[in-house]
Parts: sequence; structure tokens; C-alpha cells
Amino acid sequence: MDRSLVLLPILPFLGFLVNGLLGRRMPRWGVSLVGCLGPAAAALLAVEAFREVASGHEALTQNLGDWIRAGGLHVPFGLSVDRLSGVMLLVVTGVGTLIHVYSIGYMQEDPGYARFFAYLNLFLAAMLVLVLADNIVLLFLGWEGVGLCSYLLIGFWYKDLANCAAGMKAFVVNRIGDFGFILGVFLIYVTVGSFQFTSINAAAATTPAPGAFFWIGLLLFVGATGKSAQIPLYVWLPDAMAGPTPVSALIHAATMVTSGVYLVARLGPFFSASGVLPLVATIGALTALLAALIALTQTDIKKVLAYSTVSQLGYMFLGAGVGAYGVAVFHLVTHAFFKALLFLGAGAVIHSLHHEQDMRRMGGLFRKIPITGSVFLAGALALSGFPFTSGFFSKDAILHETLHGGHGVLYAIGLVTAVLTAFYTFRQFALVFLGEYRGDEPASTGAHGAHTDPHSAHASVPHASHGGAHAAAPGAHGGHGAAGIHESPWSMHVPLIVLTALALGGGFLNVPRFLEGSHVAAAGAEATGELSGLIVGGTAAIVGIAAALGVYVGAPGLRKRYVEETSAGRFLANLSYNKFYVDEAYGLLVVKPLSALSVLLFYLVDRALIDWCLVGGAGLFVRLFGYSLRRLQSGHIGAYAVLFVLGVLGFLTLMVWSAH
Amino acid sequence: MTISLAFCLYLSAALFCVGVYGVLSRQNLILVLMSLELMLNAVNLSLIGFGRAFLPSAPADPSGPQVFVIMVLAVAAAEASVGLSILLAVFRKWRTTHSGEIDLLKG
Repeated sequence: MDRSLVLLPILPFLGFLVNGLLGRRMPRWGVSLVGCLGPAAAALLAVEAFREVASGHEALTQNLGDWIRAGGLHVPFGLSVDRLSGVMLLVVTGVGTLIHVYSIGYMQEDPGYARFFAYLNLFLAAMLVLVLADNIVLLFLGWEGVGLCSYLLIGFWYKDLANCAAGMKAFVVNRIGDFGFILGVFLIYVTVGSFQFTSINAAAATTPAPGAFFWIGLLLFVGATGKSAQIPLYVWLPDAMAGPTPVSALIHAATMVTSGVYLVARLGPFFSASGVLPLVATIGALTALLAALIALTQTDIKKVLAYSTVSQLGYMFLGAGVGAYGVAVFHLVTHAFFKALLFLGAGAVIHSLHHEQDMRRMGGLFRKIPITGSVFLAGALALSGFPFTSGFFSKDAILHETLHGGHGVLYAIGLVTAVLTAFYTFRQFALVFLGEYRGDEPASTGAHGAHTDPHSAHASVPHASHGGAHAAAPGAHGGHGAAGIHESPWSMHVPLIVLTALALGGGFLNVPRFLEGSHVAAAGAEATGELSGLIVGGTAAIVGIAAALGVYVGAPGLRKRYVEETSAGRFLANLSYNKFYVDEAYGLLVVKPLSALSVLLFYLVDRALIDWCLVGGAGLFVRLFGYSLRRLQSGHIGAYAVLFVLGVLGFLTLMVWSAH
Repeated sequence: MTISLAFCLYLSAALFCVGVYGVLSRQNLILVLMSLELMLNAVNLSLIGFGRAFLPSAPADPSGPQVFVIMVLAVAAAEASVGLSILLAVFRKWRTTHSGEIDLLKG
């Protein structure tokens, strides 16, 4: 019935085409204009579509005809907006537009300026297809599209091999999840016979859930763990910080990584019927806890935020896993606001310090870049769940629903994680903005000096890669002195200030109640603001913040005494700093055997069988045959004549013979 | 005395064999070409013989075997001219008409 939905993905896609094909020949302001115009126009259209679904409960749909038709298989290119996708649309286009504007300032001096905007626009187009799709195959198109853009943008500074490796890792890990996803889609077709979300959800409601539903739910959830960085597939997201910071904000915090949550919410009734929800909730809670523990000791400003993203995504899955899809989407929205804000704030810090990302070489920056410091503080408060910020309402809603659903253990995990979240967030704030500036000290003393180094002095600890921005970023002036620290341009400040408002006030949007109109209606979503839960959650946040400020600002000796000078403390800190050795374990258990097997197959099958036996063998056979026949080709006419006559005689003899 | 068909054919076969022998045994390309002419004329002879034996009106009938013979003579003339011009070109390049020394197409 509606007409203009298809314009939403098309506008950014046009921006991608123009910037991708002509961008190198256009002036920078032209690239910026084209790059930001598409997302901004899409945002306006999204607002219009949103108002329409907000006024009624009818979903807007637009069918552009068949996309795939083969035998009994039938996939329409259908777009639809209901309240759930309406909320997602606003977040994706709104935050997306802000980040595009921010990128004008952040990427100013990059030689790949047009390429960057082209990729970013392509990402937005794919993300909008993902959100607007009315069937799971079309969603998969967007799903893969955003994965591709994520890969391209992680490896944006491709001259540094570490960035390319990070991009590859993200891509490969996502493939594992997508393998599950696509198997789930096949199974849906076999079981339900349709790819439409409405049919899938309807099938879940009517039939007495067949066993296949469990496997479909499980396989789709595997896909979601890949895209949304949950245990066991979360390992790619921290490495994805190798990309430019706006990318980390847009793709790896606000939008793409939340698409797994969106998928679960989109198929909410189906997931409720499939019986995988307890698993979803458990994985979510465990991921939240694990990532928060790792975030406690990271030294790279973006790595802390990356692990915090993994942790917050865990919260969303916890919410979805207890059946409170509306609350999960609420946290998705607020998280998009404050995490984008934090990433962009971190980007502003990195920009100000000429691409320094190590927090051990920061400190005392609040006085030098007060605007950035203030907005970062706002984001940190929201992430911690400080009372009346956005994160406070959404996180506590999730915890409340968990307790309400009778998951006591998961609630406890969530509460502990909330304290940890507040702690690592303000540890980061303290290291970056409070205390004294440490960037002037030589790196070696910075790493070993007991009073500045936030970690026990483990000289042997392999330092995490710092994103590699140094190597390729042209903006690095070499001078890292305190004097060179400067505030960022207005194009970076405006998005930050808008996001600050959203991060602080976003909690007053009652997303769960709004979503009740669509199928996402969650049991007890209206109880969001229950008082006791809010008091507990707020206390957890304040305890965490106070502890972090106490340890990192008030009494630095405390940490020294308990962490650095006890073997247990050192052991735990080391464990967390090295991310519980998960990457190493995967390397040992998965990567090493796989690469050994690959080498084996390479030599055995590729080299020996195919190269030598089949290809080489065929060649050898022909060569030997030719070598023996070549003798006949003497070049002497006489010899040919003799053979010719002999042949004629032979035929004549044969004819005479057969005539008798 | 009439000449029988058998005589004609024997003579023709003998001439043909001489031609084949010449083509096979001679190394000088001019002689090879001459032997080829011999073979062609052996065939002509057998054609005339057949004509005489089976078409009694042969001398008066232009559509008889003589037409074939004239045709073969014409082709032989063309073949000889082409063959000799190739021979000339070969001689200019290799300064010889000896077939054993020309083996450019050796595999």
C-alpha cells in the first residue's frame, strides 16, 4: 500500500554509487555533501514512515515484485515497516546521519575520503534493507551486505596488514554464524513453507511446535551470535576496532551488531515457541559478564568500548531470552545512543592526541578538551546506568524482566555485570580525563612506572595491537606533546552534542510500551519503571562508579596493594588483560588443527592428486604419445610419398579383398 | 591389327608403375614432377582404351572419354605450372632441387 519505502535504501545507495565512481575526481566538500545527503534524506523519510506507523497499528508495506522465483520457491522483494522496524529505522538513519557528519571532521585528512563515504553509504543501504525486509531471505541480503561493509571498513587502512587480518577475522567468524543462519533459513522453508516473517510467526502460534522449530531457533541464534558478537563468536568484534572510529561507532556499536537482537525480536513469537530462549538468555548473561571482566583491564581506549559493546549486547540477548523483546529493543536503542556517543567521544580524544589510543599515555585531558570530556562523561554515565540517564532505564528494565521471569541466577549475573560496567567505564574516564597527562613520558617508563601504569608491570605481556591507526593515518603529526592537544572541529562536536542529549534523555522514551502495538508485546513490559528494581540498579551503578573513582583517583595505593602485590591479584589481572586466553584457545583448538588439515589437504589432494597425477599425468601422457608419433613427421617429401602409396595400396587391397 | 582393351590397360598400368617408381625413387624434384606427368598420362591412356572398348562411336562423340582426357591434360598443365613455380621458389631459397635437403616441416 505504501510507495516510498524503497527510497530509504536507494538514497544512500545512490550516494555510494556517486562517491564510489566519481568521488576521486570530486572536491572534498562535494564528497561530504553527497555522502551526508543520502543518509539525511533517508532519515527524513524514516521519520515520515515512523509517524505513520506510530499513529496506527497497521504496518506499511511495499512489494516490488518477485526477487527469486524458481519452481516452488518464491521470494518477493517486499519491504515493510511496523513499529519494531520503525524504531530501528529511526536509530539507523538518525545515528547514521550524525556519524556521517562526524566523519567529515574525523576523516578530513585521509586520502581515502571518498572511498570511506562510499563504504559508509553502502553500509547504510544494506542495513536499511535488513531492517525493512519483510521476509528472511531479503533480510539475509542486508545481513550479508552489512557484513561485507564491515569487512571493507575494518580493513579501511589496508596498508597495515594487521588491519586486513582483523577484517578477515571478522569476515570468517561471521561466516561461521551465517552458516548456521542459512541452514536455519533452509529449515524454515522445509518446515513452514514460506519466508515471510508474518507466516513464520503465525506458524509458531498455531501448530503445537514441532521439533524442527527448536533447531531453526538454534541455527538462527547461531547466526545472531556471529553478527552480534556473543559467546562463542564474539572474538571478532574487539579486533574490528582496527577500523576508523566512526566505523566502530556506527557499525560495531550502534547498528550492525544489534541486527542479531533485531532478528530475535523480529521473530519473537517464533523464538518464544521454539524453546531456545533459555539458551539465548544464558548466553547473553555469560557474554555480558565475560566481556565486562575483560574490559576491566584493557588499555586501548577503543578496546574497552568494544568489550563493553559485547557486554551490552549480552544484556540485550538476556532481555530477549527472558521473552522481553520490547525491553531488549529499548536497550538496543539507548545503547545505540550512548555507545555511539562514547565511540565518537573516544574518536575525538584520539583525533586530539594525533592518533594515540593507549590510555596509559593519556590522563588529565578534561581541562584540555572540556567539550569532548563533558560529552564523554555523559556517555559514561549512561553506560554505567547512572540514575535517570538512558542506560539506567533500559538496563534496569532488562534486569527487572529477568527477575520477574524467575531467572534468579541470571539476574545475579546481570547485577554483578552492572557494577563491573560502571567500574570499567569510570576507570576509563579516570585514565583518560582525570589525573595528570602522561603522554609526554617515554613509552618505556610509562609501561613500567608503578604510579602511572594501570596494570601490574608485566614486561612479558604482549601488547594488544593499538588499532594500527598510526601507520596509515595521515593526520599524525609526530609531535605527541601536551601542547599539540586541540579540540575537534564543529562537524565533530555537533553530532556529539546531539547524541549527548539522546544518551541522557533517551530513557524517557517508553520504547517497550510503544512496541506493544506490534507483535513484540512483552509480558510485563509496562512494569519497566518498577521502583525497587530501579533503586537496586541505580545503587549498582553508583557503587561501581564510586569504586572506580576511588581506586583510580582517590587512593591509587589500594590497587597497588591488592592487585600488583598479591599473586592472586596479579594472576586475575593478567587473565583479564589477556582476554582469558580465548583467542589463544581458539587458535589452539580450531585454527591450528584447521590450518594443519589445510596444509595436509594441500599437499595430499591439491599437490599430489590434482597437480601431479591428474593435471601433470594428462600432460605427460599426451607428451609421450606425441613424442612417439613425432618421428613420422620427418619433413621429407619422399617419405610421405612412400607412406601415401603404401596407404593407397593398402586400401586397394582391402577393396579387392572385400569384393571377393 | 586391332589393339585390345587388355593391351591398353597393361600398358597403362606399366606406365603408371614407372611413374610411381619415379616419384618414389627420384630425389630431384624436376624428375618427380615429370614422373607425375607420366602417371597422369597413364591414366589418360586407360581412359582412351575404355572409351574405345565400350563406346564404338567414340571418335565422333565429343561427350565421350576424350573430354575426360582433355580435362586431365588441362589440370596437368595447371599442376605443372604451379609445381614448377613452387620449384623455382624453392630453388631460389635453398639453391637446390633435391627433396632430401628440404625438411622444414620436420616434427
